[in-house]
Amino acid sequence: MADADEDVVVFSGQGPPGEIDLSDETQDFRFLQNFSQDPDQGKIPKRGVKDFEPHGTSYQESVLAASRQAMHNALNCTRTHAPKSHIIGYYHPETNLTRVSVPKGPHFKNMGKADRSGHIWLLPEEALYLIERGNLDMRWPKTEHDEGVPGAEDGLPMSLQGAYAAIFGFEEELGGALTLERYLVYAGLKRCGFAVIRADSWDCPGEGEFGGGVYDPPTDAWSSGLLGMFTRLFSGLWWGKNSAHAHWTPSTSARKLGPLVKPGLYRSYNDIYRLLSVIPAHDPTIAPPRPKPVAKSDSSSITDGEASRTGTTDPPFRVAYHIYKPTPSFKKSAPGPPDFRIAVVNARETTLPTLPQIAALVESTPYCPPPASMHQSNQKLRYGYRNVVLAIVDNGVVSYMRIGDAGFAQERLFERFDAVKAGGGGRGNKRGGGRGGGRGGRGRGRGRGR
Amino acid sequence: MASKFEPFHISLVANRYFIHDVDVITYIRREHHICGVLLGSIPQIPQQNVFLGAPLELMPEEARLLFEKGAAVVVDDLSLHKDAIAFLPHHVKHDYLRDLRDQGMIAGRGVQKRTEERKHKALERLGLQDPPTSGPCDTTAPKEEPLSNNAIDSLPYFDAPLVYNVTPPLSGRILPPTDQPTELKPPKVPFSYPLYEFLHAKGYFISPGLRFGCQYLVYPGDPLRFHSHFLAVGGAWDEEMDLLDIVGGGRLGTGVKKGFLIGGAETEEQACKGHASTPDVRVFCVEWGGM
Amino acid sequence: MPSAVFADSLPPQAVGDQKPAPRPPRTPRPNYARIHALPIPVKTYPLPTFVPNNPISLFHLAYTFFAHLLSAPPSHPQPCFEAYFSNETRSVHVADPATVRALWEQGFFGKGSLSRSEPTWMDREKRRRGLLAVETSEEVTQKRRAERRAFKKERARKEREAIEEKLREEGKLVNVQDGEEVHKPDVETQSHEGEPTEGGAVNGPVDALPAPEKAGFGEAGDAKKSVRFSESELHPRPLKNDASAARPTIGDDEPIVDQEHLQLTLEEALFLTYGLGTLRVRDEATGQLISTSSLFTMCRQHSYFPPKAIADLQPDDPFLISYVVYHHFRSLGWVVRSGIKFAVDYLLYNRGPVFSHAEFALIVLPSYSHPYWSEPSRKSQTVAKESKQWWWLHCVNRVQSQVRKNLVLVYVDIPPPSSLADLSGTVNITEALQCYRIREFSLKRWIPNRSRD
Repeated sequence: MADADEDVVVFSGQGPPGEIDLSDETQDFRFLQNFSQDPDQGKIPKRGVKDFEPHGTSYQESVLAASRQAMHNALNCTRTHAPKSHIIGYYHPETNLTRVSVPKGPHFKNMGKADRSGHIWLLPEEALYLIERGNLDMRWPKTEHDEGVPGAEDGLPMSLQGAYAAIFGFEEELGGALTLERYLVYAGLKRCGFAVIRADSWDCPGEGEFGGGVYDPPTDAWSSGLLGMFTRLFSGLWWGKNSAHAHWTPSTSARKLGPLVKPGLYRSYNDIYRLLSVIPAHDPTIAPPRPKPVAKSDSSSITDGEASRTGTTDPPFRVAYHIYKPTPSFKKSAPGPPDFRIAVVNARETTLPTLPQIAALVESTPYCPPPASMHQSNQKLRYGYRNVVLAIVDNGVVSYMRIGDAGFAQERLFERFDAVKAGGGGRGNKRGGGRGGGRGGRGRGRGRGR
Repeated sequence: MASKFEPFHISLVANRYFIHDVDVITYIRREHHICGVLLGSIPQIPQQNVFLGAPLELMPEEARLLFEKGAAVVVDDLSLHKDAIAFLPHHVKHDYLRDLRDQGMIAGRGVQKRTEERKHKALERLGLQDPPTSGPCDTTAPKEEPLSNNAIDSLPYFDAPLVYNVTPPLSGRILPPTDQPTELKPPKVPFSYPLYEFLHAKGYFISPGLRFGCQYLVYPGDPLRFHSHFLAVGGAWDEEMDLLDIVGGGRLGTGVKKGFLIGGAETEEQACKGHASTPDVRVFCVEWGGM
Repeated sequence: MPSAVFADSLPPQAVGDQKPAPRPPRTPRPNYARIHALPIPVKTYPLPTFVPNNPISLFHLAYTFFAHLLSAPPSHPQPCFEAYFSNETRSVHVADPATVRALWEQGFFGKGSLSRSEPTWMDREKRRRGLLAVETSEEVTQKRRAERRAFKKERARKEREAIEEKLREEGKLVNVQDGEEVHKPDVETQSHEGEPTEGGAVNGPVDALPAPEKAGFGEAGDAKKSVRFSESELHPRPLKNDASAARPTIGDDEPIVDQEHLQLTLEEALFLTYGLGTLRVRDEATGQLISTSSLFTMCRQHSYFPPKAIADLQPDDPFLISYVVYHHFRSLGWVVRSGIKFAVDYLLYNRGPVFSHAEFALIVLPSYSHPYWSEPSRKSQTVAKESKQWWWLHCVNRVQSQVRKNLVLVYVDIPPPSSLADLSGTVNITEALQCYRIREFSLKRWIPNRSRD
C-alpha cells in the first residue's frame, strides 16, 4: 500500500532541500569567509561537520578552541568610517529619529525620508541597521559642553551599546511600536537583500483590503452545456419521492436526524454530495464585510456565530512590514505593491492567534487567488486566496511561516467521481488525482521508504 | 570563582537582556557554557544571516542564572546613558574622544598600508619593481627601487595620514561607575526555569528551540562544534499534556536523532512527601518506538 | 582507515543515509482502481449520455430510464451494514467479513483491529501458515526495520572504532589507569528505559575521562551526556505474526477463524449512519438498534473519559468539534483518516492510502469568538483551550515537513449552548451542526533566502 512508508521515521534531518536554512544551526566561524558571497539558491557553502558529543580527544579540543577564537576575532571588529564615505547621524531622542548629514551611498536608495527642508531622516530601525553595518556614525545630541571640543563638534559619538540603549529605550518611553523583535526581522530581511518598508498598520489597525461582492463566481460543475442539460432534464422530470434532485431545504423534519443521503436513485455523485454539505465553511472568494468602526475598548460587537468582523487587527497580529525583492527599479517614493507582507510576533509573549485575530490579519492583505496557471487543487489549496508571512521571534531566533487563507470548500473533489465514471473508470483525472503517483515513485505500492 | 570579568554588566533595555562586551561574550561561553543569541550584523560580511555578531541577547533564564550566581549585575542601560550624556565630566569626555581618535588613526594607517602593499604587488606583476626584501607583514615601509617616470606619475598622491571616525562597540568609560547596580530585581523567568537550571547544572549548553519545535535545544558541548542531543520542553508538575504532543515530540526527535525531553519541577507537596528540602526536577525522554 | 577519515571531525553521522540493499522482486500489485471504484458505499446510476448524431443513444437512454423507473437499482447496500457500539474501546466494531471488506474498499473507513490500517490479519495468518504468497504491508515494514537496525549497528560500531583509534593515538586510552579501557559503552549493552541523564553506573567509563571543558564544575563533571537508543528498540521482540520467525504451532491445521474486526471511530460511525445512511449500530450487550439521535448523544458522551452525563454535555465536546471537521472534509470528497501517527488530528487523502500518501495534515483548533464565551467565568477555560504555544506549532510543522505533508490549521467556531438547546428530547443533528463554522489556513515554513527571486 502506498502509505506503508509512513510508518518509517524519515532520517533526512533537514527536510526537503528547498527548506534548508543554514541559520538554523550555529555554524563554525572558521568558515566565515565561505559565506562572503551571497549564497546561490542551490549551493550551500562548505562548512565543516560537527561531532556528536565530546569524547575527550585533544584533537577535538583544539578544534573547538580554534573555532571559538575565530568567533571572537570575527566579533571583535571595530567599526570605522573612511572620510570618503563618512555619514553622520544626528540622533533626536524626543522622536527617536535620526537626521542624516549627507545621504551618500547605495543604502539611501531604499531608506530614509526627506522632510520639507530637504533633510533626510532615518527611522530608528534604519539607523540601527546602518550603525551595525558600520555605515553610520551616530552622535548624541550636541550639548553646550560639546562646543569647541575637537571630535564632538557634531555631538558625542555613540557606541553600538549606546545605540541599542537609546533606540529601544526611548522607543519604549515614547510608546512606539518598534520592538526588538520587529527590529530583528527588519535587519534579517535587509541582510537578505530585501527592501523593507513600514506598513500602514505599523501601529494602528490599518485600512485593510476589503472589497465588495464576490470576486470570482465559483464555476458550477453543473453548467456543462446543452448535452448535460438534456440528460438532466430526463433525470429531473418524472421523479419519485426519493428524488435526490430536490433542492436541499434546511430542517425539514426528515433532515433532523438524517440520513442526509436516503436510499433512492442517484444519477451522480454531485447530487449525493450536495446533500452532505451541511457544515458552513468560510468562502474566501467572497469579500469580507467592511469592518464597522469600533472603539478599541468595545469588544462585544461580534455578530452571532460569525468570526469577528470588526477588522481591528490586534497589535501582535498586524502587518508590520512590506518587503520587496531586490530589483534595480525599486523606488522608495513609489514602491508599488509589496512582494510579501510580514507580521511579527514574540513567541514568549503570544500564543497561537484566535480565529478573529488570524482572520483579521489575513483579511488586511489583498485578495490574491491562485493564478490561472495553477490547475491542481492541492496546489491551489496550499497557495490560498490571501496570504501573509508571520515572523515568530523567540529570544533572537526568527522563524517565518506563510499563512494562506485556504478555502477547501472551493475544491470539490467529489466532482471527479462522476468524471471517472463517465471516462470508463480511468485512474483519476488531473484535477483530483493529480498528485496520486507523482512523488517520485513513492506512490507506487509498497515503496522502499525514503 | 574570582575572575577579572566578574561581575560583568548585563544591559537591560526595554525588557530585553544584552551583553555588548565581546570579551564577556566569549568568557561566559567558555566558563559558564552560556551562549545566548548573537543579533548584530558583522561589518566584514553584512549581507548574510548565518554569522551574526554582538550584541548578544540573553534568555531571561540565562540572565537570571548569571545573576543568581553573582557573576553579573543587571543595569538599566538607558538610565546609565542618559546620566552619562547629561553629566559627563570634561576630562572623561576628552579621554573618550582621544581614544576614538587614536583608534581612528590606527585604522587609517592600516588601510594606507594595505593599499600600498596592493600597489606594490600590482607593480611587481607589471615588472616595474623588484619584490621588496622585507616580508609583507613588516611594519616599516618597504624600500623602493627607483621607478620609471611613467610609473611615478601613476602613483596616487598621499599627504597627511587619513583619519577615520570610529563607532566603538561599548560606551565603556563614559558610563558612570556602577558600584551600586541600578537594577537589582532578578530577571523574571518562565515556569520552565527549574528545568533550565537543572540541565545547565549538568553541564549542557542550552539555546532557544523555536525552530526545532521545542522550548530549548540542549547540547552536550559548545554548539559551534556539537549537535544538540535533546529537544527539551518544560511543564508544570500537574499540567495535563495532550498525548498527541508526546507523539509529535517523540517522532520529531527520533527523526533528527535527538531525544525529546520533557521535564519539570515537583510541587512543594511532592517534595515534602519525598522528604526533600527543595523540589526535585524530573526529566523524561521520549522516543518513537517503531523505526 | 580512521586517520584518513579525519577531515575536521570524526566520521560524520548521517549526512545522507545509505540505502539498505535492494529488495527482491515483489508480487504484482492488485488493481486498486478496480477494487476501490466506489468512493463511498453509495452507488450512482448515471443515464447514458445522449449523442445527437447517434439515434441509438437516445434509445439506450430511454431504455435505461424506464428500466430504472420500473425497478430502481439500489443506491445503498442491501442489507444495510451493521455494527456494534463498544463502550470499552469507545468505538464501533464491525465483525461481518463482507461488511468489513466493503467499508474498507468503498471509502477507506475503519481500521483493522490487528493491523496497521487495512484489515490484513487473515492474510498474514495464512501466510504464516504457508497458505498464501502475498506479502502484506506489515511484513514489508518489518523487513525494512530489521535492515535499518543492522545498518545502524554497523555504523555505530565503525564510529566507535574511529574514536578509539584517535584516543589511542593521543595516548589517552590506557588500560591500567582507570581499571577499564576508556571507551564509549557498547551500544548493544545499553539499556535506557526512562531517564538517560540520571543514574549511575551506566556511563561510568566516560566519567573517568578528564573533560577539560567541564573543569571547574564539581558535580557537573559527572555529567552523562550521551543519548542512546533503548535496548528494547535495538532488539525488539518479533511480532507474533512475523513470517520470518514462523514455525508451525499447534492448531495450524485447523481452519482459521478471523480474530480481527474492523474498528470505526465514532466520527466514521456517525457519518455512515447519519450522513450516508449505510450503517446501523446496535448495542453490544442487548443487540438493540441504536437510533441515530441516541448514537449522536452517545458519541458526545464518550468523547470524555469517563463518559459524561447527558446533562453535562457542551457545545465544545471533543466529539462535536471533531465530527464537524470530519463531516466537512468527507462531504468535499476527501478520504479522512486519523493523523495520530503524525501528531495531527486528521490526514486528508485525495483518493485513499493505497493510491498515494496523505497530502494534508489537519490540526483542529477550537474558537470561542461568540460573546457568550468571553464572560469571565468561562473565559479562563476557553483561553486555556485556545492557547497553543509557537514552539508546539513548529514541532508539528517539522514533523509534517519530514514526511512531506502540508499542515493545515482548521479553526472551528463554537456556538453558545443556546444554539444547541432542545437536545433533551428531539435532537436536531443537522441544525446543531449548522451552528458551527469552519475556516482553514494552510501553513508553510517561509525561508527568506529562497523567496528572494
